[in-house]
Amino acid sequence: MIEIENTWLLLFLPLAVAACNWFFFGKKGNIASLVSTLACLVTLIISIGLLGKTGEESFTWISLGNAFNLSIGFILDDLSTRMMLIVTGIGFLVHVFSLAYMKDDESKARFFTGLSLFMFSMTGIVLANNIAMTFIFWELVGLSSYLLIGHWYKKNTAADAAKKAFITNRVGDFGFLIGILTLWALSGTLDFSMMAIPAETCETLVNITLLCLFCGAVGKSAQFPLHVWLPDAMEGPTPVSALIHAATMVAAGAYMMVRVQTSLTVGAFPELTADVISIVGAITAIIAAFMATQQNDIKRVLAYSTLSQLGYMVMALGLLSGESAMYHLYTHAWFKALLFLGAGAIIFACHHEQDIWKMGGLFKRMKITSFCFLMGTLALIAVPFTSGFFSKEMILEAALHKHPALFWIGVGVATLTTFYMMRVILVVFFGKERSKNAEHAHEVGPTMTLPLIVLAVLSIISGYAFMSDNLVPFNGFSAPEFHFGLPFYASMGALALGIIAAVIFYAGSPEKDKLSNNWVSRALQNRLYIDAFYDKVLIRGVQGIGAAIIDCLDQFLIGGVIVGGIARLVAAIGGLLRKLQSGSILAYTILFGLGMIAVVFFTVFYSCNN
Amino acid sequence: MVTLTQYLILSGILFSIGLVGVIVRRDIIVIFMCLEMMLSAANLSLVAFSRAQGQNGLPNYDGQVMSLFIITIAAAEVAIGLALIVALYRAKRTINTKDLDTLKD
Amino acid sequence: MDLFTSNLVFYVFAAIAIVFSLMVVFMKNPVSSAMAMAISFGAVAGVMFQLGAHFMGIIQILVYSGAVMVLFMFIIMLLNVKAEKSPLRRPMPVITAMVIAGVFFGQLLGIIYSLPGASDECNSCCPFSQVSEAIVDLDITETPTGEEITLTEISLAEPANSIINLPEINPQAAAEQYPEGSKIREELASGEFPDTALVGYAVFTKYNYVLILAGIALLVATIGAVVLCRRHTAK
Repeated sequence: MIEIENTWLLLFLPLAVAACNWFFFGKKGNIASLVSTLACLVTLIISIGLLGKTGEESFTWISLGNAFNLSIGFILDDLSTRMMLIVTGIGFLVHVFSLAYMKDDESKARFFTGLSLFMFSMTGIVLANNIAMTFIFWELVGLSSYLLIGHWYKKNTAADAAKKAFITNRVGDFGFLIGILTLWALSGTLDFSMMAIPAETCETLVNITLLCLFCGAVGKSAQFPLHVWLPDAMEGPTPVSALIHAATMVAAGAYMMVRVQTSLTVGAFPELTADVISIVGAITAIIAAFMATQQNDIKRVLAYSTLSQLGYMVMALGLLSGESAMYHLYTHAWFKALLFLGAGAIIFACHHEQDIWKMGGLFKRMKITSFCFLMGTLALIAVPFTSGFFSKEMILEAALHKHPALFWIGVGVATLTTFYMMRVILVVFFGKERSKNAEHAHEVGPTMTLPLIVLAVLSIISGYAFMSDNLVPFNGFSAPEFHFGLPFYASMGALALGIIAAVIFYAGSPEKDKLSNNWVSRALQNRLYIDAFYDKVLIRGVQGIGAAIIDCLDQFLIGGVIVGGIARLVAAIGGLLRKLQSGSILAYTILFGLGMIAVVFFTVFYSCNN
Repeated sequence: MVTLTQYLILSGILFSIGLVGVIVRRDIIVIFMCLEMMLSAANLSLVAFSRAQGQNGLPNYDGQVMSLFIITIAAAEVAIGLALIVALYRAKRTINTKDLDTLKD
Repeated sequence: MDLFTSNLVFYVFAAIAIVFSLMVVFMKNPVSSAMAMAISFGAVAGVMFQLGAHFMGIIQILVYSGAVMVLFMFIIMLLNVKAEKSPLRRPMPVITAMVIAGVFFGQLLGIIYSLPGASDECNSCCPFSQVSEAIVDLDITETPTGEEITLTEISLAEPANSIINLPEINPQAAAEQYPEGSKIREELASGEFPDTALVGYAVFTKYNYVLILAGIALLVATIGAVVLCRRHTAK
């Protein structure tokens, strides 16, 4: 019933809805929100219908003679159709959640326009059949993220965070663009289904191309060193964080790398590239996990947790195990969205209070939310038989086989993950209430709890074979057999260690964090001073140099040489010519005589044919 | 034999002397007189040509008629020029060209 | 007059004209300059007489020497012009002027000697030469009474389009151009040379419009002179 041609509807319906909301329903937030949600439901239905289909269609958008054609089109295979399911599924649940969460917001229409624009852009990235189209929609996703993070733009922190996100993304996109151009030069085409790197290309060039493409992923998926924007992006509304910065947009980097790996085949990736990618992923995972242990804002904890899990995915990519990366992306999407929406519900219930040290004892007041949040946490810390468990096992297995050092780093990250998530659970849900807001919290309405329940169910069962074989976005995926081996024992050990440590420090309703007054925790709270370094050294330095150069150019070159020089030149010539107007008749007469001689010479003695 | 060449050379010499006078002298009136000398030299050459282009035993009177009209216009020009000089003298009380420099920048 | 006298007259008057023109330029007193100028004009008029342009010569004396120079004298006296420092005291303008005039005269010489026929003569080298190289054609013919030798003088072949030689004035040959029964025709036919009448004939028939315009120009000049010299009394 759903044909391949409906994919165009899938792609362009959210754009139409965004335009509609912006131009027609700008003031009518209620109608705008309902229109957006319904459109998202339609796209979800189309995605479900497209599962299992394959095909490719495109039309040429820009054509520059025979040299270059930029086409817009879609490619349907397991990778893209199942990814679309994740995007539209989570998108729909977030839309429903936002109906309640943003109920009292004054610019609802603008919010839903931004959400629809984001759905359009993300669909474009997933469905793209050539890498140039990926880049275009890549930038569009960055734009939507900017608009949504800065939704409450009147707050300075939100506006700054939006700017930071966009600019950091741009830095990564610069490398991405160079990678695209080099790839085009090497393989001669931009289409995913036709590109291939010739075998005799020198390895340095291949390394450069793939690492430049990876730069895009570093920017979009917030890997070290471009991770600085993701924690600040929590300034946006929580549904935005859930949709964009947990489940979908940040996964776009991993998705793009897997798409490239699928097109160019894994064998085209040289050792150096793969190692660099996996090391970057590992570094991100571990420093993010450390930084998460000392955060006091519940959304920030979840943001660092996202960073850490993205590090896992990228590490898996570097281990040339695209299937484990996509498996983890798939499970992570569900439980991270659940965690963020749960946090949103908690924040909403506590009247927009976000500090965990002002919450407490919420388990008995918000039973459904707490239970769902707990389910999400179990999946995140990879308790056996949750979905997160299976995907993390697969990654650790791959790491063990290729680089045991990365395996142990992965285990360490798992320990820290357990530790900080248990810290949050113990502080927020158990113990005594620490503020008036917490005392007055009550359960939120069904519009909010229904998405939470759906996501909770999914985060438990989506790891099992009957779900994952059909739903993990990867061509030819099949879940591995579960067996007891080193990865299993190591991750059980990590789980136990993390829970015991968290219980030691945070059980029993502490008033404040006992671990927070030493230099380690202060460094972690200040994000290991990476942000400060970027700000003071890089940004100020570059701006300073730029200002100095421009000043020199302006004053010396333009002011002195060009403008001043021209003025002086004109004055000098004028001074010379002024001497002709001496007023003395003698001079005039002499000039007259000379002119007469010249005239006679030129008319009589000199003809132009001489 | 005096041919046309001689007359033209005489006319050229007179014209050049007039030119020297215009450049060298400092009184406006004497400059004007040398100007008249240049005109007269031109007249001379015209009359010489008129005789040299003669046909059927008579000179070609076109040259002489033109010379007549040049004398007429020269006379008119002298009248106006001297009137101007008188007006200038009334304004400036000098006819030395070094003092007549109000055209200066 | 014969050829010799004609040439002599020319050279004498030419010399007078040049000498007095130089005096005009190089004398300090403007009155002296004006007098020298009047004589120079007279010499030029003499040259014109020698050319056969009697009417133009008379007009030159009448208008230039008689009216224009008198006017100049009048203005010099009116404005009480003082003698200036000798021009020779200021070498720079003199040298410049001589250079310019010299270059100009050189250009004129170039033009003059480019006239057809001019460069074949070296007249300036031997001004009084009357000898024309003659080529004698010796022709011996057989006659019944004996040989008769005929010498025929053939003068140098002139270049076909030489214009520099002044043609002879031959009134009778020109008589046919003029209308029947006119006085000019009678006089020409009888060998006289009524120069004034001939100039007048040309002016009044061929150039009568120009004559009227010249009259208007004179009128304008008169009015202009009066206007320019008005005293502007404060009203």
